[in-house]
Amino acid sequence: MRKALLAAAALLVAFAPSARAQAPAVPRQGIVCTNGTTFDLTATPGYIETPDGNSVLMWSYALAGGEFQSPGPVLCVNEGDSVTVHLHNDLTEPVSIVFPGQTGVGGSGSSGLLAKEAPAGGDATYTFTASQPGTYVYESGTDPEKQVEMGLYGALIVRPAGHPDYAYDAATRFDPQREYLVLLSDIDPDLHHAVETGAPYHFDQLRNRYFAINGRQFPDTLQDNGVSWLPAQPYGSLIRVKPYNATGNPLPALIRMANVGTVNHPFHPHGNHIKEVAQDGRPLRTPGGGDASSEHFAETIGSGQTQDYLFSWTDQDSWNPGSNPFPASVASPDYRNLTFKDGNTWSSGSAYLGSKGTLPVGTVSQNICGEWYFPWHSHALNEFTNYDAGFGGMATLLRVDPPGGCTAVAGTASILAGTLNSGTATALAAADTAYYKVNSTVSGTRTADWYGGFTGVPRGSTGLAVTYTGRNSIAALPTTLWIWKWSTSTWVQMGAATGVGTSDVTSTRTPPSPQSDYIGTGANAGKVRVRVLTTGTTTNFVTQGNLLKLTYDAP
Amino acid sequence: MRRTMVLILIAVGLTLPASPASAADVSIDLCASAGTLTLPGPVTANIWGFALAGSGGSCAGVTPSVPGPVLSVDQGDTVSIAVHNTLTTPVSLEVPGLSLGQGAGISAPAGGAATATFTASAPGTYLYQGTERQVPMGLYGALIVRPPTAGQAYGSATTAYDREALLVLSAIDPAFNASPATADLYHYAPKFWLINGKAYPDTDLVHGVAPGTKVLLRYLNAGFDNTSMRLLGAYERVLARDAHPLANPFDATAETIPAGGTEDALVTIPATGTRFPVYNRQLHKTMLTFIEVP
Amino acid sequence: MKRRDLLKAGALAGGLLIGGRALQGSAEAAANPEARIGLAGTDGHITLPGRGPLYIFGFATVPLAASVGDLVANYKGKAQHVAPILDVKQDNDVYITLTNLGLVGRPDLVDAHTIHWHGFRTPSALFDGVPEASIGVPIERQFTYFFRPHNPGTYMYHCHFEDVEHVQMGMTSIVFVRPAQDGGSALDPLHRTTTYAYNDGDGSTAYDRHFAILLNEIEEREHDADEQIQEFIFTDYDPQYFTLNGRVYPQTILPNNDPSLPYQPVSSLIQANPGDRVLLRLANLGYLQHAMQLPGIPMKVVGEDATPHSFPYVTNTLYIGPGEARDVLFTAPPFNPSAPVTTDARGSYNTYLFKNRDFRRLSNRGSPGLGGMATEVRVYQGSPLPAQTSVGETYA
Repeated sequence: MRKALLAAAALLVAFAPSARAQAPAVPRQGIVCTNGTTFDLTATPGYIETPDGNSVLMWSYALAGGEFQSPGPVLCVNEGDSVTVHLHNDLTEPVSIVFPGQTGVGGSGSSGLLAKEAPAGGDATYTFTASQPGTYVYESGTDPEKQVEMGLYGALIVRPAGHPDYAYDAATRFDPQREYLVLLSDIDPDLHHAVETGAPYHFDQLRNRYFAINGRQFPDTLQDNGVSWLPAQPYGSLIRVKPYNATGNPLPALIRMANVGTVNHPFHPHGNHIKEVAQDGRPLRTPGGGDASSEHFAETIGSGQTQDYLFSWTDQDSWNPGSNPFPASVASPDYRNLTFKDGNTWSSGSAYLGSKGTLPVGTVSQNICGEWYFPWHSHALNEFTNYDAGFGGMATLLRVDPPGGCTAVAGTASILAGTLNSGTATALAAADTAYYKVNSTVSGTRTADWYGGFTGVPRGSTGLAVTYTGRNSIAALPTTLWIWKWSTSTWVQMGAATGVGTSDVTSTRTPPSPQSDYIGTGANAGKVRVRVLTTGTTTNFVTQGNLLKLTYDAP
Repeated sequence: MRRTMVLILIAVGLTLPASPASAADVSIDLCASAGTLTLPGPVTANIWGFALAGSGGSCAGVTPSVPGPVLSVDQGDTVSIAVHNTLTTPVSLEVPGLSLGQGAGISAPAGGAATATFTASAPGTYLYQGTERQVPMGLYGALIVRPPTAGQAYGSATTAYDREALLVLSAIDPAFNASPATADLYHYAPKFWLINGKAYPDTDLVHGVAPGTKVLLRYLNAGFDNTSMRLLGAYERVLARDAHPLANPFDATAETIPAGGTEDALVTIPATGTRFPVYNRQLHKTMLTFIEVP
Repeated sequence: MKRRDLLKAGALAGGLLIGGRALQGSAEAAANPEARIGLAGTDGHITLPGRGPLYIFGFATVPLAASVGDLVANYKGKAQHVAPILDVKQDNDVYITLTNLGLVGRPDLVDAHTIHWHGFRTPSALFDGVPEASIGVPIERQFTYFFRPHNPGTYMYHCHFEDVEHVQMGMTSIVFVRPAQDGGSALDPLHRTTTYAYNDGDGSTAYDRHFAILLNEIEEREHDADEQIQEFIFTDYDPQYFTLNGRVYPQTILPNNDPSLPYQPVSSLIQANPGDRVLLRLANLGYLQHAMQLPGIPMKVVGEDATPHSFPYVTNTLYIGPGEARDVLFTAPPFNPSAPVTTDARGSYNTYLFKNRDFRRLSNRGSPGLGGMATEVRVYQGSPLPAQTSVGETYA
């Protein structure tokens, strides 16, 4: 039975008896930090769902008062913090936590083989100083052959003092909007079933059937953090970047990888190479302090290791349909002679980033606006499955978004004041020789007032920006751009007026927050309207729209 | 001829060796013999192991061990290793990374002997081993080549240590060892995961001196599995792999020692803590020991 | 050896190696020489000791000019494993046309095929070969993949359509990219070769002979299930055979195009004159990690994942995970007459074994005797071997 359809993270605020650890502000994608210096964890059982419809008993560390989650919460602290972790044990056998990479771990609890333990129903406490930044794991130190396999693990992030945008130091600076955790684990459901039913289990017989990233198996890995239908698996792992650009997008993404599984996992990123900059929370350096990082198109991460990678995606040839097209014989294949697997594709149908082609009728596209999708997966391909079905398991996708985000052009044009002179909305698709022309009103202060309609803008899009290029038949008339606010059914002006004369002028405007106000819902789902208002004098004029474009970052 | 620098000591926590002598001729006589190994349970497994020969290369009455004796020579020594084979099957000896003067290795026929002669030209931690089915039976051991400076793993002062310990990793499937000539390797399934031939709780402790002092861990993976070893409560600085010093030593808490590979890692005992677990992170829990500090 | 000669040799090598034809001055991309390669995806059988013919999917080299109908008539059911090793040069425009010929053994199965350019910095998802994010090539259809590789090194290619199955079934091989630096001997400290693993700038990766060797495993239950229209549960994966270029020892030391192995044409035998600098282009498309040793000869790792090492290192144990590649140089030692010597048509030689360190993987199906993932390095007396004219060339 599924638990309450609420993300564990959301419940934390309401029920945590002690809010010493800060509930994460959950981004849709990327790492979800539970910030603090004191953490209350409870070792507790719960169930995860696998994409093949199975439900598996796991043991995990949950935030006290919060919902069960697998893996345990991502604990984020700062370099130099004195960290305290209280462990309460709701399981029926002793458990503990070890913190590989931390030295001088103190605390209290009953004596155990590898660490102080919390007896069944009891407690233990661990204290340490997070002396050095890095990516670490925490996991059970009690009967680890069983308990780690059962799911008692999580990630610990120590951020450099004063530099949350460094993994370690200036050489490992990354884009804080593009920080990802890739926590690898594996599950033998026979063990979990034996624990659930009290049946015997021989660890020599271990045979992993499920392979996870951040506790989910592909394709669940692609879903946003905290989606309601995966209540016990709050962490997604879709990796998103935009192409590297020395001025516009110079910083790499940071991929914090950790292997809490029982076996080593060879991980293969498609698209571009990844650069390993650290292992086990220590940067890779020459003896003189220089760079000893290395690039890989596949790298085996050992059981228990962490590795940090910087990642940028670059098209070395800058292929584009305008100035540097692919050879004509390969750029536009006839898709009718090809297949899109299962009739459902992430393909844009185009050879170019940011473009969409026409897919065969009946093919369902998951592509928003010409972005790329590349699988990142274990190349031990028996792990690239959900028990027996391929393209599952230890896999996620890299999504490369177009450099300028998604672009939409006005598909309709409607006149609020004035009359149509000539042209259709089609003329607004590109800054070219085709214009959409509107005659001004013909009495009083003349105005030409019209708007373009956009469709297909996904809910949750951000970074909306409007670009308008146009001119008028007479010199220098003030022109303002507006956007329709669906919730109040009013136009919202974007910025000050621009003087537009007889040659093309381009204006770019961004609407005030929250941007969700401007994307229609319900019957108007995905619709955005942008209005162009030109205010004249007592002389008739013609407004000539050349380009009306909307850019946005798709969710 | 210096007769031997062979240490019979298998236990971890070797004491600091005496100041090395200058290059010399070293002659080592090994017996390859059948024996048994007692494992927790107790279970008695058949083994083939190496043992130091008696005088005149006699194998009479020797007791083979798993792993075999630790062979310790000095850089520059001319080393002759004779294998006296008392088994009814040939036994090979090879040392990846060393040319034994006869190409890949030597092979002593059943009931016969063979000798490998080589110059120990580079310091480091080497694995000597048989081949194929001889390996799971227990025919392997450690060969340490010591640099001129005592108390260092390699030529660089950054490899200086106060204590050293061998961690020879391997596994045993008693069912295979009962019939090595004919057993089906496809169904090879080890039941015991060993450090220096022992399964926890029988493993030997590694003894550190005091906070701030350094323990050199010489990992040798004599098993078949690529083994990830975890250290808790401290870092190990990885100095060398396969007896080749790394250009860029790095700090780690979990390292995969590939099958047949060796790794030298230096642990500086932290200020806090007296007991630091070293264990197989792939959760073969009997491959476990501790670095202990008084 | 001249690059142009090598390219011509590629065509002669049949299913072994494909060097792209270098054509200057094409209308499409005048700036870059072209390499055009035809591959077909289909099924077939290979030979392994201890069992009957093993059903595979694989690729075969096919002429570009032939019609799909002719290709079906001449090549359907004639897949090889390992697939042809592809030899291309940095900055060339590489066109690889894939034709799906369908399956003789499974006429009910209408799987598409693709080619994934494993390890390449991919500028367009269209050419990445992932059927969920680009296209698949259905039976009796064609698609041309395009690449302009800028980074020399050793890569792989494989089908990515239901790749958990198709990769294991045999649709796997190596593709390597020669550096722009090739062609002059000035950088070679010995001034005797014009070939280098990378654009090293100092000749440190110069080689006299090179060998591309794909590490892989075969889980016969999966192949048999596929042939018998049964499902195999991939998490049961536990292979019985461990291969180099699609062969197990002692097949691995038979020469290229050995008539006893018509659909496993690629040898792993390494023959060298003393002092030769040998480059091993190693890649792993099995599902297991492998530790490889070459007792008696130290190995210098100069590149990894088609990236030159900033800090090359010497090792005795190559640890290679699935999907990873290594470029390894060694120098053939002097011939030692007092070591065991074998003789063949080229004279006397010493033998070194390049082999998996996991003893389970030196066996065919678990049976006694050396088998599996092993091959020989033969170092001859004198220098009887001529200059190498294609990657992995063998000498009878």
